[in-house]
Amino acid sequence: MYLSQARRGDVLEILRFPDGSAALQARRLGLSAGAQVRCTFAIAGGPVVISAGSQQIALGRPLARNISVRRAGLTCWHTIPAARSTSTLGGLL
Amino acid sequence: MNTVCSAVSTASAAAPVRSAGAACPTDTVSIVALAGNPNVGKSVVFRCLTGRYAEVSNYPGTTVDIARGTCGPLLLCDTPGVFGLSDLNEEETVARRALMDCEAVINVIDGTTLHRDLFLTLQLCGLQKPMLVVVNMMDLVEKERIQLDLPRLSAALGLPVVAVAAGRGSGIDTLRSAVLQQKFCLPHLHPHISGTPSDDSEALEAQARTLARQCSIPLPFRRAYIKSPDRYLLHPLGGFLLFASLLLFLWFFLGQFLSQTVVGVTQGVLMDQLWYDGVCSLLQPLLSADSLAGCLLYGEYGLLTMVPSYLLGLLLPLVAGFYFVMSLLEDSGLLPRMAVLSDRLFSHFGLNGKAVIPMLSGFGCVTMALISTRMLGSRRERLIAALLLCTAIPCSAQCSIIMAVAASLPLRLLLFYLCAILLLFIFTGLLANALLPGDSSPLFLSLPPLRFPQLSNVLHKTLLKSRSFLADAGPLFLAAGAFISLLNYTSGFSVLHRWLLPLTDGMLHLPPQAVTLLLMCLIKRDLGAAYLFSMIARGMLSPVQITVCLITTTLFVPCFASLAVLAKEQGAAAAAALWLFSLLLAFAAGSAAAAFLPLIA
Repeated sequence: MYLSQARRGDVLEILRFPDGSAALQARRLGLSAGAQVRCTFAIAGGPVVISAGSQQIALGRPLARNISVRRAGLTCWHTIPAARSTSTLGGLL
Repeated sequence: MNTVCSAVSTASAAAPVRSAGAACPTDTVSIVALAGNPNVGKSVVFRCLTGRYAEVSNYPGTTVDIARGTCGPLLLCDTPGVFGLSDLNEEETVARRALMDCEAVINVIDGTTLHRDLFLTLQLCGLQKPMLVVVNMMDLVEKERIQLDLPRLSAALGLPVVAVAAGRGSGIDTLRSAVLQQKFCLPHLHPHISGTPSDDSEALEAQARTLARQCSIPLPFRRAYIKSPDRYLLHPLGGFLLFASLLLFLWFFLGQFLSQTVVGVTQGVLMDQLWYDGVCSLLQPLLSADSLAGCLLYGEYGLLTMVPSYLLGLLLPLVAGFYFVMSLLEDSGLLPRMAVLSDRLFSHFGLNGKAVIPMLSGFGCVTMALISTRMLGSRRERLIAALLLCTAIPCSAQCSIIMAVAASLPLRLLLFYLCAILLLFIFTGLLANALLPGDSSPLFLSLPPLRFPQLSNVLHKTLLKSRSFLADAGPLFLAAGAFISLLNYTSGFSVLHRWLLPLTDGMLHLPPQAVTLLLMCLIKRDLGAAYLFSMIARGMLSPVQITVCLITTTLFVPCFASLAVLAKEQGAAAAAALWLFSLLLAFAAGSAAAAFLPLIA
């Protein structure tokens, strides 16, 4: 299926991004084959908004029609081994 | 906020200063570049370190030029936000050049989007320049309960890492002392990531993702987005309500409060009574009103009468008010939402939703908006956007005057004006899309989080833009005042009025003074708008003539400043074609309205 067919709330795995500058841009945002995203909004005839991690990205309908995806189970955006939080503010590490 | 503060003190006490990589010899670095993804807070960090203001907005692509400031002995350059270092767009070219010229790099990354930002970090590591990594937005990291392993990030990159929440000023002291002590290190990637940074973007993305996995623990897909205001803002009905309420707010703020109450004081009392009377009583004994100098200085279009009255009394409050509202919109993150909502509409004109940002800026100043068309993907899109801006988008002064006039205009005439401009906007867009060859790029936009605008930033931005308006418009207004006064003195106006009588009287059914109005619009749109306001105030125009004037001046050719930018951005031939097109469209629409309106009025 293509991203343009996704419905709001769908968790999807990207299978293929069309080649070209959009793919390059997408890769820089962490979107490439294998990435899991969630469709947060699909405006009828308009853009599809996906969330990847904590960022939201709007993709125009013509682009979404060319992005192959498949539905995936509800998981984290990427699987990460659990570790204790060590985030600190202000400390030079 | 308490937790944030305690985190600073805990961090300072517990985390020893550690240089993870090869230390850079001190006192060798003098030019440092700030680099990072768009909208990660580089400009805020820059302001915190240098005390100089670089424009801050809550949408990507605010910084197109390089801002410079000093932090102790160091020269800091704030580069445009980029996702990578290629030549995909102008920002990347500008940023890459600045990074090549600098001696050290401060890489600002957003703690909530490590997987995205580390792509650029790894590319920067490839430059092999001394670096320091600043993880910003730590307040949001805490709020979203994302767990970051920053020591691990520091070890993996071989670079010192400072965590800050620049918007709140937390962690900035540590950062400043780290920068002043030149704690920059040459990057040294840990072998478990990769021996050397790769040039291949796919491999680099894989490295960035691996590193992000090791250093951050995002929550599973949260329902936060579903519950966020975006649920309503990105809904077509919610979006429509947002636009409608925004227009209503503008109507009350600009049309009612500023145009009538504030301008009543600034122009009506301060300028027209106090200032004008003062200047006249001072100069009349020295210079006769019939002399050339008298006409130039305090005549009807005088440098000391008309120019300050229009510029400071009328336009400055209106333009400042408009910039205030635009700054609120920019800082809240609403503009990119509007881009998403309007994508479908703009696709009919061969544009994508991003075009809404220059269009809205055009309501402030068309000249500035023409520069911001750079954010659009292709030359074709930039040309279509420029065409729409130059024809059917009124500038802030025109908008404010339209709103002020609208209160006294019969409703059907007001609706006629709005429908005419909207239809011509659509017609121009469709025509350009049909005639210009090539395809347009689809929307690809990273949406920044919604934030409450900081009043200090909004006021600062309004002040800077208003000052820039005065600096740009002031000399042009003075030149226009002198030129028109000369025309008036030498009876050049009578000749022009006679020559253009078939146009003003025959086609547009306007009084001969409409020539002055068109001449002023030609020089600067704001000036024309101010003159129109005074024509209406003096009762020189009937409601039908006001509507014809509004249509003609809205569609009229871009002013000199816009034309210069247009020629620079699109080339002289395209600028000339656009100029001619808007001239023909303005007169065709104006004369059609003049012929048709008496029938419905």
